[in-house]
This record gives sequence, C-alpha cells and structure tokens, in this order.
Amino acid sequence: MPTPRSFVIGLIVGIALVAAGSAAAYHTRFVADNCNYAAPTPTSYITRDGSATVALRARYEGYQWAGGCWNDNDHDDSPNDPHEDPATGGEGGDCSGFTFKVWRESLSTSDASFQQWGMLRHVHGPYTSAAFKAGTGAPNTTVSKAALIKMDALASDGHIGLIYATNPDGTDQIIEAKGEDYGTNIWTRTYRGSSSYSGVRRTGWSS
Amino acid sequence: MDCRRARRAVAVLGVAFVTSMVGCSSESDSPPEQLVDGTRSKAPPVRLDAPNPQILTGVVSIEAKDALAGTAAGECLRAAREHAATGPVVVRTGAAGISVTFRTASGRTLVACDASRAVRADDKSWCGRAYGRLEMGRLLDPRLDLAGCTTSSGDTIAFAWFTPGTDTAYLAVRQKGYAEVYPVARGFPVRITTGDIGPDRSGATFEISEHAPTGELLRSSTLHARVAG
Repeated sequence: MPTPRSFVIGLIVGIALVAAGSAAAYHTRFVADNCNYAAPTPTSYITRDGSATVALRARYEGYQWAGGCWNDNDHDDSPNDPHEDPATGGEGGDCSGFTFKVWRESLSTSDASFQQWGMLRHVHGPYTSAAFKAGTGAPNTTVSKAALIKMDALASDGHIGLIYATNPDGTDQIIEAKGEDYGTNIWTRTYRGSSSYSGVRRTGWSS
Repeated sequence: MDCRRARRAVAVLGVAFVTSMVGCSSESDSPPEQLVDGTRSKAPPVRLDAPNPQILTGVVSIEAKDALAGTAAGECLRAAREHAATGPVVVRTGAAGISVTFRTASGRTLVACDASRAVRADDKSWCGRAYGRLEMGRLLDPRLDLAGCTTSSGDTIAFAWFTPGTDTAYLAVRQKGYAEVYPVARGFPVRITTGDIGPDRSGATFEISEHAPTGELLRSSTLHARVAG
C-alpha cells in the first residue's frame, strides 16, 4: 500500500513524463484533416489587388514551418507549434510558403506563369526567403527598395514579407507569416530601412 | 536443322540481352569521372561499408581571414558579406555541387553558398544560399536549397546540412549508381547534395550512412528535408 507522500510524488512524476512525451511528439491534425493536393488553376489575368485579397484570406490564420495550407476562419487552428519543425502538421504557411501562394507561382522555377492555389492546398513551393531575396526563379527579380510598390516583397536571408501599404513616415505595413508565436497578419515594419533586406518583385502582373 | 536454328536464335538473343545490359550499365550506373570543379574523382582512403562505387568529395578548410578573392571560400565570403564570418570556412566539392559553409561572428548562425559548377570571381557562381540558426550549437533545420541549382544536364540538385554524430568520420550519401563520400571536417554540419527531389518540388530525400574512420557503418538514416523559411 503506497503512502500518501509516495503517491503524490508518483503522480507528479507521471504528469511530468506525460507532458514531456507530448511536447516531444507535438503534432496537430490540421493538415491531415483539412488539406488537399489539388492541382492549381493556371490564370492569365492577374493583379496586385487580387493577390492582396489572396493574402488577406490568410490574415489571422496560423504559421507552420515549411507549411502552406490554411483556412479562413480568422483563428490559428494549431497554436503554439514548436519552432522550425516541419512535421507538426499545423495550419498556415511560413513566410516563403505564404509568398509563393500569394504570388501565385508555379512549382517549376523555370515557369513564370500564374497558378491559383487553393487555400487548403498543402504546398510550400521551391523557394526559401534567401532564394526570393536573390531573385531566383523565372517569375522573380530583385528591384531597388525605393521602387517597391504594393505586393512587392522585402526579403532577407531568413524572412520575407509583402508590402500591403506604405506609411507616411516611410515604414511599411507588411503582410507576412511572421512566426509560430504570431501567425499571419499585417504589422508595421522597418524592413525597407534595414540593410539585411532587399527588394523583390514577382513579374508579369496585368495591373 | 531446327535444333541448330533454335540454338542460333538463343545465341542472338543472348548477345542482344548482354548488349542491352551493358548499355543500361554505362548509362545509369557509371559514377562520374570528375568532380564538379574538373578534378578527377577518386575512391575514399578506406572502403566504407556502403554502396559501391564510392566517390570521395573534396574538402578544404581555411580560416575566414585567410580566404583569398577568386577562391570558393573568398567568393562566398564576398557574396555573403552582410554576414561577418568567424573561424574556419569549409569548402566541399562533390560530383554535382560545390558548397561553402562558415559560421557568423555572432556564433548563432551558419551560412552556406551553393554552386553547381566551378566557382568564378563573380556573384553569379552561386545558385543558392542558406542561412541556418543554431540553438545550443545545434542546427534547427537542414536548410534545404533547391530553387536555383541544376547540373550541366539540367537536372535539379538540392543541398542541405546534415549534422553527423560526434563519432562519425565519413558520411556516404546515396546517389544514382554510386555513393558520394564526405569526410567530416571542423565539427561543422556537412552540406550534402542529392538529385532526389520530391514531386511538389518543396522537399528532397537524402539516404545517408555514417561511418567510423575505419569505414565501419555506425548508423544510417533518411533525411526528408523540406523547403522552409
């Protein structure tokens, strides 16, 4: 018969072990339960405002490292994912996956055509933020930061965000998949003034 | 007579079969004779307990302050000049790619420059760049890079870092028809390559084995790396 003291100690140890086990194996069912692998729809007429609309549908949704699938319920369905773990199956894109989908790019880096991806299509695309920063891929090019306009991007070797609007003081309202702790939203940022960031443009807009 | 004809037919078929096998073998199973910088490929100093044939990749390490312009190390430091380097710069030359890795002065990040042909003295040599965060000295993500690098025949190649065990002297990475052998150097994660790209071009697979200095197999694993960040 265990004493009350040993029972309490055992209970605490048991709870700690269960908690440690679930932290190590953190995984949500968001991707498995909601996302698909449907082919994209090729699109020829494409506007910056149209891409802003695509981006706004991801606003208030989650962030998933290496992810690219979200719904539009204005809620992070898999909050508090561990950082930089691609296997947690959570909601949201990461910064480069979000940009890939909003810019409606092709999986082939030599193809500059526009491809409409469904929100729930689980796809990240071939570009990291560093690849976007370098203007890698047929649809992408580098551009001077002074020339950036709506839905162009500011990219560093570790992050990329899209310009939603420019503030009178020279800062920008950036729509971006910011991180596991923040999700996807619009924030005022000073990327344009940072030497780590370069201007990047998706080419081929109709307007 | 019929019997003789049948024997002849069997002989012709046999020759045709052997010829076709030789054709297959020479097309898909021959290891590259050269590394991507044009140097002749060679076997590792010890035979690894890994698939054959085995090709040794080149590795050179130089202090960042000593890296000269025009060399792969110097050109990478120049191309990535916004990241101040400290300590060694490790240059790896394989059958399909060249990669340079260094640690930033903060000690919290690794930077790689990736190339799929010999490096020249201009920024155009690099087809990719990777930037990996270190936490407690460990790389959080392999920083897969596959967007910009292709072989001379137009096939995409991917680069990623792999962190070997402390007892590992060599990595062997399975390629089509051969194993590419990477000596571990300076305690850095090893930047490895593969042509095994996923169908959605958002990931790549690396079949890796780790070996002791004697070539003995220590462990093997499959790295499913994803494009991220």
